[in-house]
Amino acid sequence: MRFRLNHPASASVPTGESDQRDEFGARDAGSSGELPAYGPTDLELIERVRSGDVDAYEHLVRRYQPRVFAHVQRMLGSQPSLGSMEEAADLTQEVFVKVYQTLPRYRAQASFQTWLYRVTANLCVDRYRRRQRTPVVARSLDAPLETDSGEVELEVPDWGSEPSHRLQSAELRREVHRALEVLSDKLRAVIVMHDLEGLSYEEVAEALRIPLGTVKSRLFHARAALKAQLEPYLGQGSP
Amino acid sequence: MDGLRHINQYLDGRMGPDERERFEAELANSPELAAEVASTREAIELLRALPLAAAPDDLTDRIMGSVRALPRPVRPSLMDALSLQLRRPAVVAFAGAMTVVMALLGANLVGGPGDEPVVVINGGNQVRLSNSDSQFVNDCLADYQVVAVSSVPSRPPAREE
Repeated sequence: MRFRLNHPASASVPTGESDQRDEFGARDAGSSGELPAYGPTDLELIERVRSGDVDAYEHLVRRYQPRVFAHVQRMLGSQPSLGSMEEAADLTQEVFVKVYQTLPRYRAQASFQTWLYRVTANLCVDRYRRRQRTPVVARSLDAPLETDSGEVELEVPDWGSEPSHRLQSAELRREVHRALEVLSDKLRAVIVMHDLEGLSYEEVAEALRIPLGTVKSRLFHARAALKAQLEPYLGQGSP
Repeated sequence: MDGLRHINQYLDGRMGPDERERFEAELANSPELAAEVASTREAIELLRALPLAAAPDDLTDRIMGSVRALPRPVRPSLMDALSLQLRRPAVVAFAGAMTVVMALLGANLVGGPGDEPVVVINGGNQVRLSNSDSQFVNDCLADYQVVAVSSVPSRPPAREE
């Protein structure tokens, strides 16, 4: 069993290069969750699902699963390890099941993606709070993991550029994880959606159902806390 | 603090051209401000550089396995939706206010298009609702084509004989 680590640049930034198509003739949106260049829109797929076409839902899952999985990992906040990846996978599954069950109540006032983010954020907060009551032991990427079936290695990407290169330092990587982890769930949700996943202030406001001013304020406090936590490491590289 | 807020607006590209020009002029003359901008940008970039694991190969199959095992989702009936929501205090308060208003209005309730039920909400009896409660009410209104009237037409004055 191997979990691959994606370089974040390839995990969250749309490349526009994927040409894999599915049975609907649409491109998979990959990690970006961008709408396909052609093929059925989210709304068309939702209509098919509502009329009983479960296969159409699989297409929606493939379109948004990488984005939801990435969001869940970031919101749960711990360093990648087998335990945390399984937890992220479980939660991603929970999100899509919940969305499927509530799909009849979805209306296109908000984009499907925003609605999906709302469900994901709510479930992440629930899980995070539950997890705080039952601490999970995070394991380092640097050491192989002992499992029942033997030793398992986690693949670390080939870092090429700043500041990814600097994050080869296990200490710094731990600190950056820690900086994200110590944020309150409200601050973390905003900084993850805006700074890591590229949602606009307005989209974040809609996904979290908070006023625009609250988004700005939370982003301000989240960045300030992040900077304070990472202060000893800032100014040492050439980002 | 305002200076720091401006840094966020600058980094997020939310300044107009004039404001941006002024900020960049200030940036050129203030090493402290320039250092703040650089450290904020660097902190965000470090965060972005955190590695992410790819999802397990079988995750889609797992999700779809769970989904296929579920009954086909159906739109909840109005009564089902209401019975769930009536556990929430704000919705109970809202429903109570509606009942009172409807009772008071009596004969003023009028049939809507297509004989759909009409709910008349008296603007003078406002109930503070949370976002999700408001959303629920809006969902009901849209789902069941209930017509909401934000103010109640006053009863025509009785003619003096």
